[in-house]
Amino acid sequence: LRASYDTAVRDVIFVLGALGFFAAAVLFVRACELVVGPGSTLEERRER
Amino acid sequence: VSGANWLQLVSLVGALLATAPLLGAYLARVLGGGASPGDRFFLPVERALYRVAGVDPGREQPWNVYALSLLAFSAVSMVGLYLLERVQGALPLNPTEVGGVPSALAFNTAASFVTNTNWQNYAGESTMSHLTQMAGLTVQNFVSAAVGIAVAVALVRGLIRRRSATIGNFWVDLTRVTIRVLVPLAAVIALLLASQCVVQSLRGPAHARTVEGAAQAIYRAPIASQEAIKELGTNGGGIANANSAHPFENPTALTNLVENWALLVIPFALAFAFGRLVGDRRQGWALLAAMFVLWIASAGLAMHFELDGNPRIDASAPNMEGKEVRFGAAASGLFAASTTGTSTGAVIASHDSFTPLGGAVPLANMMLGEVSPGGVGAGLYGILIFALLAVFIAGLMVGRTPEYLGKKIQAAEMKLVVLYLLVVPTLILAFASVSVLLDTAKNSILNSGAHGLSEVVYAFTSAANNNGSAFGGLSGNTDWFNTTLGLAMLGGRFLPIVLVLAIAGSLARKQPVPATAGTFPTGTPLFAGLLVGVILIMVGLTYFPVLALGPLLEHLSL
Repeated sequence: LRASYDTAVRDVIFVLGALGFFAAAVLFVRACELVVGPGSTLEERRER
Repeated sequence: VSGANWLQLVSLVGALLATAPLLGAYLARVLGGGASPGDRFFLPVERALYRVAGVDPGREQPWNVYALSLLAFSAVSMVGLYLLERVQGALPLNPTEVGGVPSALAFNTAASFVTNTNWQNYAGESTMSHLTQMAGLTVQNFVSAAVGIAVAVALVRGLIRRRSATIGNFWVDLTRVTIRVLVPLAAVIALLLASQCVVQSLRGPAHARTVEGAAQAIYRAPIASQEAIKELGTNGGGIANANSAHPFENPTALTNLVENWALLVIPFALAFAFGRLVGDRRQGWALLAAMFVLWIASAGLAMHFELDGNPRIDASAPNMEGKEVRFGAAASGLFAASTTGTSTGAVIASHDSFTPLGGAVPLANMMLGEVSPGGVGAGLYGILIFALLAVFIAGLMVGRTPEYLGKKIQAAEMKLVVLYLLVVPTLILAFASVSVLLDTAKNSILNSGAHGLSEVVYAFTSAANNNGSAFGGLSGNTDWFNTTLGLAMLGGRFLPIVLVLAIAGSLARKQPVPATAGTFPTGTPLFAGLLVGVILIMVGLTYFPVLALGPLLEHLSL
């Protein structure tokens, strides 16, 4: 039982770790928007 | 260098010269939008896929939406692949009855194949089921390669569009590249390899009795179908532990030539496609020349050092340790330069057994940032980033705002270019430094001194540059290396991609300026030379200290 529990915990850690990386990458996209702007269609429309 | 060795090099270059321009023309048609060959067959397939996925192919994306789509696709791919590896023991197509892949190794492998790296801390024969190989790893070999090409074409659109808020649609690019380029080419190559007796079987091991009477289990798997995209998509992950040195993956001189050609053809073809897409083929020739010079120089050096041999053993004989006799030293050097100049990482020889300077060639090749000619797509966008740096430096010299293809390169783009150039070296040097300090990590290093340092640095260089080849001499299947190499692969792939897409978005919005007498021409041999110089200086400044402490010190101590 203990072994199964440890395995499940490790799975949760690695899956959350992978998703955490991609969440950080999304924040990185936001940081780059500060440098170049988002260029979103909506914002371009507002500008026009 | 003997006649046979020259023949290998000349046939490879000849095959590339004959095919890369044609493939480049086709790629330009596929990536450029509008009608392209095979529409009658491919369009219905694509429309069906768009319908199922709910994609509107006519709707273009701004750079940030393109980047978020790419990240979402890769995140789902990574978690899906991780889960498939973990539960493979309960799934079909598992004739060797392997169990679930351990969690840390599954994380590393999922990161590895989603990032087009294909670093392998496992032996495929004893770890992966046929289902995982086919539905997990091989699928990622296709789509991760398509992601690289999609990013490259998004950057090209950024360069050629005028005052555009969008840079294409990620889902359309991913689909078109996979369906129209990678699948058809991989199918042809797989059939060619199978005709040369590369194994293609869903059965379990064949059982035989050796001459001495011992029982032997001979591994069988769907190798030809995986081998084709493994090279074509610059992935590199072998079904067998010995990778392309295994006779079931690469049995003859002809298959070796085909595999070496396959891993180089798309990266070189993309330079031709670039020239066509920007409407000035000289621009493509300049990038191609820089890529080719770096590749051929590294191939020549690797072949020379391996043919020269090890003076401590026999100065008159080639260095044959860790090499297949059917390939020899020269072909091994040539393949090593090709596999690390692209981001492939397949191997036909043990790089750990190369002479110190011979081993420094693949290491330095990866340190170039995979631009000689680089991974599929990654090579083109990587060298374009260096091109932006080169025009910036040229602009500084003459005191003008730099331009590339009519687009002014300003502060915003240069900040992102500099970040791009810093991300990968930071990952490599930081992780490698910590690994040579921690006892947990040091226990995995099999050699002491300069060679041991090279083994660790090579591993992180390979991971962060998404190459995937292993120097060897490092027991990577530990929690530390599975996790840190996995993070290096993810960071080395997706952070630069976000930066490239941001640069593409910024450039797409600009109004091109007309060329004047003061514009630095970028479709010339002078620019190609400047580009090569900039790449070599950047790598020298970044990595020379660690190269001096690793392979150079080892060479001097021979």
